Parts: sequence; structure tokens; C-alpha cells
Amino acid sequence: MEVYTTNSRSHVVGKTLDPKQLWENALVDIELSISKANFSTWFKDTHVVKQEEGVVYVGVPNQFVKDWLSTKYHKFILKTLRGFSDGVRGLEYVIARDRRKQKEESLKTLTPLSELPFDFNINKSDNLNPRYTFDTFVVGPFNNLAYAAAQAIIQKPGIAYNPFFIYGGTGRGKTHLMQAIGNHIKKTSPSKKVYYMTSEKFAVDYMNSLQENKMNQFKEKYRVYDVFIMDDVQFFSKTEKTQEELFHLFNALYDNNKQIVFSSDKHPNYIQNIDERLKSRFAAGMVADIAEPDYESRVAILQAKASHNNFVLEKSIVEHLAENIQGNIRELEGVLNSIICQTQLKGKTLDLLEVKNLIRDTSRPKKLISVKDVIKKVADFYEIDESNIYEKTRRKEVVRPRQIIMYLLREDFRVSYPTIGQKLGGRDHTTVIHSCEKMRNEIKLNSTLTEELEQIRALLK
Amino acid sequence: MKLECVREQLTEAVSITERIAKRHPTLPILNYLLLSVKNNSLVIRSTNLELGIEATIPVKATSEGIVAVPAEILLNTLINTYNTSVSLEVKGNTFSLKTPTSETLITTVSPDDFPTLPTITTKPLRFNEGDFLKGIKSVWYSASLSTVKPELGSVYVYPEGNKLVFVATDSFRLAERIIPTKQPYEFKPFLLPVRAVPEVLRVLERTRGDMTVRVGEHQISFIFNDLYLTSRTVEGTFPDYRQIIPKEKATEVVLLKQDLLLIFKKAMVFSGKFNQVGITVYPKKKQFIISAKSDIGETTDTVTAAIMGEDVTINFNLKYLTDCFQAITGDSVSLTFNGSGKPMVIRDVSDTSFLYLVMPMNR
Repeated sequence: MEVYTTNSRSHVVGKTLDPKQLWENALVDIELSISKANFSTWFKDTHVVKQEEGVVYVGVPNQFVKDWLSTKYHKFILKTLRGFSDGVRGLEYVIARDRRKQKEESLKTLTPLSELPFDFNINKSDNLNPRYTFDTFVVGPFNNLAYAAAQAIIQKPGIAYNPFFIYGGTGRGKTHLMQAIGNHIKKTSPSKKVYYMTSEKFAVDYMNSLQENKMNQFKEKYRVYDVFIMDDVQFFSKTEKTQEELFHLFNALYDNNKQIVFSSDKHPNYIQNIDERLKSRFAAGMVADIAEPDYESRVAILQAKASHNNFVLEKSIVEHLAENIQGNIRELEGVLNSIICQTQLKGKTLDLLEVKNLIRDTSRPKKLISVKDVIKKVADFYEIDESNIYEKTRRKEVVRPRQIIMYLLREDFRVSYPTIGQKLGGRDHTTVIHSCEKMRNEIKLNSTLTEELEQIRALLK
Repeated sequence: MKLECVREQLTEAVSITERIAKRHPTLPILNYLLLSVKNNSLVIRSTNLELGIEATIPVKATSEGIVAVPAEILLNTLINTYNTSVSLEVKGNTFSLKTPTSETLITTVSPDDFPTLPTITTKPLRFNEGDFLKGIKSVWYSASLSTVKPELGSVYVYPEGNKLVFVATDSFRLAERIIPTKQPYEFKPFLLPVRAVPEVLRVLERTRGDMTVRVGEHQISFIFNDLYLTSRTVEGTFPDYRQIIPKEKATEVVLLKQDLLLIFKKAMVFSGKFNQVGITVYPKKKQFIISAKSDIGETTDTVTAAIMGEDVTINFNLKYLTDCFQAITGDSVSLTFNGSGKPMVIRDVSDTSFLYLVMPMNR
């Protein structure tokens, strides 16, 4: 047995090896040094989990292997590892399933049986949904502050920004970001206890504990966590006793340098009916907002979500969706899902027209607005006289609103080009087409215009 | 190593350990039993790296030692020996088994490579083993045999105040048994792999009385006076099944278990390769009809039963229905339905601690 020959190579390789390579190299040496039977029984299913402060953590499939490696092979493995990297100080074994090797077998059901409706996605012990990770989180100007803070937190949980308070409107990705923090910390430091809950659940739990006389257990229960994530704290308004309990929990966690993450739809100062002392604590660490995603971000989000679903979206469709669905990422996702579903149903890719029809059905609020209303609202918005719109004038302050009207009528209300032309003082349909085209291009470049359109649309609702 | 012992005790210890000493693709020594003698007791160990068993018997030892003996050969030798006492001795790499009238020599291998069994250091918990036996037996047939979702290929055990809860499901049906205990327990819920269940049951059935259990992070041990069994536990989270147990009942049928079983047995003959059986309930006419149909013919039974609620027509995999009756000891059972696409609940009328949930076939 040439067990110790590895030493001769030690300085050739140096310490630049990443833990994965290090372990793979070590395995090759180990395989050569011990019998095949022993290697395939004890080493084949091992993998490296991480290397931290010189200690290599080796993942093993079960307790049998862990015991055997630490009693029989510990010195030998350590020596082999040191042969490749001087920095190795210690060696620990952890029981962990090798995620890379998990095969995605498909469950083939022979019988036409339906399954019990379990939700396998949510991990009961920490409530985290593994679907939410940083890999699937699209970063743009609208959320990069929150994202950067989250990145700092996962590096130094409890120290960087504590508490971390995220606020922003519905469907902007607050929950995604919070859960991604939780999932990341859980993955990188499995010893840390992460817990995610909604404020509503906290309140319900508080009430139940009160009824069942289990207040002491309730107090203890949440204090054990290293990372405590609470979603939608705005729902705490008016629940005095629950707020008090949260206040105490906050202090307990904060004093022990445990990371706390909150989210809400408003800045802490604007949440109504919440104790001052709680408000000031919410705002004590880092407060980051997630704004409305801009056009480019919406495009990026759509592309990311589509590729996540292994779905290819045509450029024109992506652009159309990004232009027409604003503010709410959840809505974007919903439309994308229905496009995917329709595609699978029809067995062919949808063209732009079909997509337009689809989103009109799914996302446009059905409300009858006459062409006149649109003209009036737009004219009012730009503070010009309604009659100016119909005139054959090319004054700039009239042309812009007129084009906006054409664009809105076309995009939001599906009015035909000739009709639009006719209603706006007998203009040719090609003029209308040109105007709409111009607007479409300009929206992408001009953010003031986008904002104006948004405000007008809000007026029309 | 040299000792004398009672053949019957030795045979029992060897037979219980031999069952898991099977051929291993990479480690041939797992085919062996490890015999070690110390302080007048002989410990026989076997493992398949998922499960490990150690059986201890009292012996009269003249010298101590450790040896690895091929499991199956030792067992076959012992079964076919009739004397009351045997003496064992190791000389070099030969193991000899002597009785007053016979001598058997078996070649051994070096015991150095024989794996150790994991020990768990968590707080020992005292359980009535009958409780565990009943709990596991009531549900384990429902566990999934596929390896896709390991958490479903296990029996889930958790404490709930003064109760122990055992659950298993393969996502087509689910069985739950709640066992009341004298004192409240606190331990981390665990998933016992279904592959370990037959051995655990065998060991639990063997002895009566109290046992000690240690629940570790990835491992569980059952400890008896003369036996130690340890198994890995499955990593993962059992699905939150409580939320899918229907709370309403649109239709309820109560009938004698014996009647139902007889009909099911007959229906099995006609149920075809999908084991499909149809159930129709007409509360107004007080009719409960079971029918099965395939290429070879068909059969229909109308059973007298106490019926409440709405009409329902629904199909099931008959095998899933009959499975649960091994856990029902009472004379009558209740079947509750919530419409044709929803799962049916089967309960023992006299014993509410058992619940069985089964999905219909949608054809």
C-alpha cells in the first residue's frame, strides 16, 4: 500500500485548489491506496460540502460511513488532503445528501390514479420554499439597493444590516428576496436555524398559545432561530398584544445578533397603528425599497422566467408584455404562465396577436370607455382644449397628445387604425399607424413619456 | 476465542442477525457475522450499512476474541444441529463448532474490515414496544416503494402530547394511526425507511415489554436487553398531510367489515389488470353497490348498510382498499365520500385512532 506517496506532490499544486477539486484529487489518491471494495463502499458516495478556516467538511451518505471514516481512515484522509493543500487544518464529516447526484426520475403511473394533493415544495420546519433563490432573482435598477443589502446579509448574517426591512408594492418580489436570503443561509451554513413566517401566522400562533395557556412555549419557540424572517408586517396594525410580543421577540433576537428580516408594503414610518417603539426598531437597521420595475427590468424578468420554464419567447412578444404589464411582477408571471399553458394546449407557439388577445382577456380590466373619454382625459392631462385634437394643426403641444391618444386607443382599447383616424378628425389610417409606431419606439427610450402614460392610464381606469 | 453456549439461544441470535447479512456489491464482509466474546457474553453483529443488529447471549467463555464467520453457513449449520449445547473455538483462521457428537470447521476472514455500528447519544426514551409495533404495522403498507421521494418511502413517526402518531403514504393513499401513551414524549420526528420496517417489526415481535429508543439526527436505535437494532432515518420533510384530510363528509356509509371483505375478494377476481372496482351509493334507496368488470366478466353486489348524505359514484384501485383492513380490528367500518373526484376516508367505527385516505381512479 502506497499510502503516503502523496506528500511528494504537496508543493507542486499549492493551495489554490477549490474544495471540490481538492476532494476529487484526494479521492483519486485514496482509490489507488486502498482496496477497491473499501473504496467503493466508503468513499464513492462522498462529496465535499465546504472548506472553512482550513477545515474540510466532507459529506457522507449515512452514519455508518461517518463512523467508519472517522475511526478507520481519518488520519489517512487528512494526510492525503494535506498533500494537496497545506491549508488543511482539520477534517469533519457531515451527513448530507449529495444534491448533484439526485436523479430526476419521473414517476410513471400506469393506472389512471390521481394523487393526494400534497404540497411538497414547502419545507415545514422552516417554511421556506426552495423555489425562491438568488439564481432566479432578477436584479434591476428598481431593486438593486435591496438586493445589495441582501447580499451583504448573507455574507455576515446578524452583523451587516440588522434588522433588514424591505418595503414595496404587491408583487414586486419582496417575498422572493426574503426567502432567497433564508435559502442561501440555510445552504451555506446548515447549522444556522432559519425560519420564515408571515405576520398573520405569528398572530394566529400567539392567539392559540394564549388560549391553550402555552405562552411560555410561544416565547421560547421563536427565540432559537438564527435568521428570523417575517413577511407582511403591515398586518400587525391594531393588534396591540401581538405587537408587544413581537417587540420582545425582536429584542431577544437582536440582542443576540440574530439576523432579522421584515417586509411590508409601506415604509415603517407610514404603517398605521403600529407602536412607535416597534416602528423605530423596524427602521433601525437597513430600510430598502423595491420600486416598480422599469421596462428593461420587466424584459429581463420575462426572459428569466421563460428560460426558467424552458420556454422560448419571441422578442416582439416579450416587448409587448413588458410594455403593457407594469408594476406587478406577479402579474407578469401569471401572463407568462398562461402563455406557456396555451402553447402547450395548442401545440404551437403563439404569435403576437394571440398573445395580445390573451393578455387583454387576463389582465385588462373590462370597463367601457368611449373614444371621447380618452380624448378628453388626455387633453385634460396636457391642459389643452379638446377641440384642438381634432384640428389639422401640427403644433407640438397638440401633436404629442394626439399621438398618445392614438397609441392608447390602439394598444389598450383595440380600436382599428381607420376608426382611430376617422374619430380624430378624419385622418388617414397610415398616419395613425405611423404615430403608434413612433410611440412604441419612444416609450423604450423616454422615461418621462412612460410615466405620463402610466398616469393617464391610471386616470382612465 | 473459546466458549460454550446453549444451541437454541445461539441459533436465535444468529438467525435474527443473519437476515440482514446479505451479499453487498462492494463489501464482501457484510456477508459475514461478527462474533465477539467478552465477559462471558457473545455479541453477534451484522449490518447492511442501512441497518445494523447486535444480539447478545450469555456464554461460558474460556478465552475472549473476535471473528467473522459467513452468516448463512453458520445459520444452516446450527439449524441442522440437534444437541442442546455447542462449543465454539477459533484456531488460526478456522472456526470450529463442536457438539458432543459432531464437529464443523468453517473458514473465517479477518474481522478488521467489519464496520462498527453507529451509536446515538441523544436522551434514551422508554417506550412500550407493543405501541410501536401496532403503530408501524397499521400504516407501513401504505409507504411508497419507489425511490423517487424518499420521504414517502418511509413511516413518519412524531409525538403529539400524550400520543404517538404513525403515518405513511405513497401519495395515492395514506394511513395514520394515533397511539395514546401513558406519558407525553418529546423527540424529533423521524422517517423510518420502509426497507428497514420488516426487520424492525421482526425484532419488535420477538420480545414483549419495554424498550429504549434513541432518536438521532440521521439515525435511530431500538435497544433491548439482549438486542440492539439501529437504522438510518430518511432525510427530508414529510408532507403536511393534515391539511388534505377532508373535514366534511358529503356521504357516509357504515357497514360490517366482514361483508365488505367478502365482496372485495370476489370483486378482485373480476377487477382486471387495473384492479378497478366501482362503488355507487344511493342514500334514498339505501343501496350500496360494488361492481367490478373486465374482459372475463363482471360482478355486482348490493350491500345493506347505514347510509347518509348524497349520491356518489366513484372508482377505486381495489388493492388500495383491501390493504387497510389489516389495521382495522373492529366489526364495522365507515366509508366517507366527498364527491367523485375527492379522496375517500375509511375508519374503524369502534376505534377512531386509525384513519385511511384513498384517492379514486379517475376513469
